[in-house]
Amino acid sequence: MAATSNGRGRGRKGVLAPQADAAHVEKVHEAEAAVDELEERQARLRLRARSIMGITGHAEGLPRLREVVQASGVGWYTLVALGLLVIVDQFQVFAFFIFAPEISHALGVSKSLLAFLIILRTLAVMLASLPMAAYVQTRPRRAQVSKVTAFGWSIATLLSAFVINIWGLLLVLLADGASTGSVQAVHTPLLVDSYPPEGRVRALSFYHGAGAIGSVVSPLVVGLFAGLFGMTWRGVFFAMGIICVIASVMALRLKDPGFGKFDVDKVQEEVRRDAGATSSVEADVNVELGFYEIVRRVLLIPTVVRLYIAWAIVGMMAAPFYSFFFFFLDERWHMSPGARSLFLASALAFSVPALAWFGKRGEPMFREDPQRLLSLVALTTALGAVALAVAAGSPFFVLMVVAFTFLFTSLSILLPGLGMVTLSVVPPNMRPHTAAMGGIFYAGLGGIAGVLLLNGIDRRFGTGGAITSMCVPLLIAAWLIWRTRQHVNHDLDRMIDEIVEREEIQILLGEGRHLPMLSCRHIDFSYGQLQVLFDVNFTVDDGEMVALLGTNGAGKSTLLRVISGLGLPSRGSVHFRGGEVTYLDAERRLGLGITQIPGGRAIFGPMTVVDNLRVYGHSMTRQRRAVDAGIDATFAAFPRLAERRNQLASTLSGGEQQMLALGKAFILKPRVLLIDELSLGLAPKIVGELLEMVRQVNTEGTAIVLVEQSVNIALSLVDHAYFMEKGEIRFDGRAQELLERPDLLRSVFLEGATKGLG
Amino acid sequence: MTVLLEATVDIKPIAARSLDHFIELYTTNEAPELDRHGYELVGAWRRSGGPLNRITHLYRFESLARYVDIRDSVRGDARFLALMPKYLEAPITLTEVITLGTTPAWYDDAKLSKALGESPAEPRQYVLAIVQIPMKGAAKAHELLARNVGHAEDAGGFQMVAAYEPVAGRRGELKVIGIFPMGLPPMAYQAGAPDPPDLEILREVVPEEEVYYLNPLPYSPLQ
Repeated sequence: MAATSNGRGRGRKGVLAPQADAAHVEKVHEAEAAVDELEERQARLRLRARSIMGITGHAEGLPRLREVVQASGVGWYTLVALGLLVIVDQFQVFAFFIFAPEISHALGVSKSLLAFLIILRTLAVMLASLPMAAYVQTRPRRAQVSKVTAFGWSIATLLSAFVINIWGLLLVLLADGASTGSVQAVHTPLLVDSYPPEGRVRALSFYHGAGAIGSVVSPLVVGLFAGLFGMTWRGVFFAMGIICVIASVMALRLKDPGFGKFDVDKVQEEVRRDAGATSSVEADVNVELGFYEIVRRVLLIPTVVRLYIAWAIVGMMAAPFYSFFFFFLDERWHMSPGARSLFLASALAFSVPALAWFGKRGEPMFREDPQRLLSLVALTTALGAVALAVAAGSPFFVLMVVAFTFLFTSLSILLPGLGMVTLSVVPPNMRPHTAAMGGIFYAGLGGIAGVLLLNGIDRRFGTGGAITSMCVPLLIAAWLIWRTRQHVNHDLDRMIDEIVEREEIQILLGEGRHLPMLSCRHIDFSYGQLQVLFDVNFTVDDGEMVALLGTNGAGKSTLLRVISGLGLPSRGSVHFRGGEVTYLDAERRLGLGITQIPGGRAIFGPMTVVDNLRVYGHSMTRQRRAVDAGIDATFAAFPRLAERRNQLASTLSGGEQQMLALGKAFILKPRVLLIDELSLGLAPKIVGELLEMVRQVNTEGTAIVLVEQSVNIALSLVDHAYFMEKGEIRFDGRAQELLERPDLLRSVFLEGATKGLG
Repeated sequence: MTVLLEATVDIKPIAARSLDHFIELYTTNEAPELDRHGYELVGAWRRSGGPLNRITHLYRFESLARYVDIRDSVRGDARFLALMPKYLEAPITLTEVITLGTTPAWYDDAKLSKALGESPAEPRQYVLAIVQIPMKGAAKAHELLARNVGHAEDAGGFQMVAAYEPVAGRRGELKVIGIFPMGLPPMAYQAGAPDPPDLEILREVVPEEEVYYLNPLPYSPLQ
């Protein structure tokens, strides 16, 4: 293991006390050597992995889209089928908008109630996308979800023809909205995984181009059925439902290629090839992230969070845009409904060639450097803001038309541009969550805020003022997208490192190599803007007793929080028994055998001693017999607690409270016990009694990490010590060596107080 | 009789740069002024555990009357009061709790003077023990405590530098500050020596004390 942070003092030897047996020493050294090997190989592989992910650093040698499609093994089918689905998905809602007066009249529903139903539908889209993401997170079932939901909205469109009251209408709209959640959550992740990275910008542009075509075609189809064939609204819904069913049938052959077939799998292959390994072995612990863990993980990626915020700001403008846009055309330019529809359709039609251009131009940009793609998106967004200002203030009709058309065209590349970057920096199985949350930020947060804000502006300054004010969020979003560029490569490398590291560990496991039981690598952690851990490396092997020492505020307790899952790092990884647990919930880590006794008396004061112990037991298992056995063991170890078993914990002395906290170890029997400031505020004699018990727990096979304020105490107990200062590991070695380093101790105790934590 | 003044300062935000700001402000502005008036700073420590950025200053005065005089002269000093805006302008927030402490009868001020005269080559860790003296039998508890401190000192494992009973706060509280050398077994205050015969009796009246470890700051006279 790298001995200290920032590469200082690498290569620790003899970390165990002389009394430790030779076999154990050898085992620990072997584990450390294995981790050192991983470090070196990972740096070498990063560049190759970036290339596999489609980022070669130069624009040359980009294959034609046809070649990319052929290489995918699925041909054009996925692209066309998903494009078709995104077109027909818009039928229902466009027909609803266009026939709103007829529906209102036929069902006796007011305008405001219809508007409310539309809001409910939008909510259904957003809310349904998250469970869909959860459904596909462990198994690649995105094609299945796409097909089922396509039939869902097809049937909803068909049934719209037969609604006879408000409840029926609500039902079909909710069903349509809920099934449309799949477009939000699974379409683009499925598309991205279906084609090699060299063609993804073009594939996404194609798909969103199809979406733009849907926006143009939908009102035309409605007009065609209603105008040319003289159909009633019920007839149009039925006909459009039939078209949707046909499109859904045509998409029946959609297949999910699996998560990361063209990126993660290839990187893993490269790692195996580099290591000369033919296979790898999964860690024997279940560390697959659950839904909330994935959401939390995604929200820790700086690029994603910043683009979500940008997305929400765009949503402030874009989500309520059409309401104000049509009023503006009516009030300022006195355009008839027909003229307004024609204008919108023709303006949107320009998005199609714009997206084709973006696919062609954006792909080499992404290949050269993903930052460049964001630069282009930021620039076009800013130009869009200028166009909007021109359109709102133009005294000439033609200039207004041109400016609005330019606005629609420039903003059309936001979706594929931001989508490509966002989906590239998250692991494949988290892409549905990422896409779904993007929609929530856009329509949910941004849309609602935008409606409230623009309504206020509209009342004060009129429609023109509201339209003009939309420039501000667009410019802010452009600036934010521009600022996000600096994070993209870092986040991409971080994801690559995770993939490489996971595969390397699996290779080492496959080779039967011994790895440390617990390994933290390159951990950074921040409380808000304040970074408190810097590139921390820390390992604990089976049965080891490790002291984590340092000044107050050095980051010791924070590191324990990262290990136990109470805090999530902004960089780095935590591995436990070969499985990555960096983003696993604290509760699940407890189940794996990582238990923390927090500093400052980790007890429930208003409960009795025995109830406190039961709570510890029930956090792990509901088996009463096992819990009772643990409680008996605790009372045997601490007879003073047995005497006070029915006493409130708050009435115990400081030492007794700490004994009670230590009872956790006897009940949960963890593999590694993290003890934070065991001796804080306790008399040495009491500390001595507690340390005896810690020793006993360790003898029974539990590894101990002891965070201690007192060097004296820690060094009397442990084999191996880490010394932290200012969020970095300053010393990693034999415990007794610390006493031979007065320079370090003086530095830590004295200078540490004046120089700050960084 | 010597009185000791304990000033505990919590500095926020909890970042090291806040501590740096405070130390800079204190050492260049406040400390020289206080010294000019007669506040004798004997120790400045940072706790090695518990709340972050908590500093304890300990000042010595030869008597309560002298303390009152000095305090009043500081309060009336415009130059000292002019320092306040500097604290208000600094990007930190301070919460200071000042407690006057009277020294127990068995306290020997010469020990503090002796410790102040030492310049240790190795870093020394200080220990703050907070003992709850029972209201009933306080005299006996003090006597036993003094004897045990003496035993620990004789064994070379603990060197008392200050003891005081705060006049505010928990009643019956006694604070003892001493030096706790490195490398000792932690189970007792003395180096490997068996428990003194009267420790058991002491434990009957004072079963357990709170103990905190203190690290001297660079400007602390006690090092």
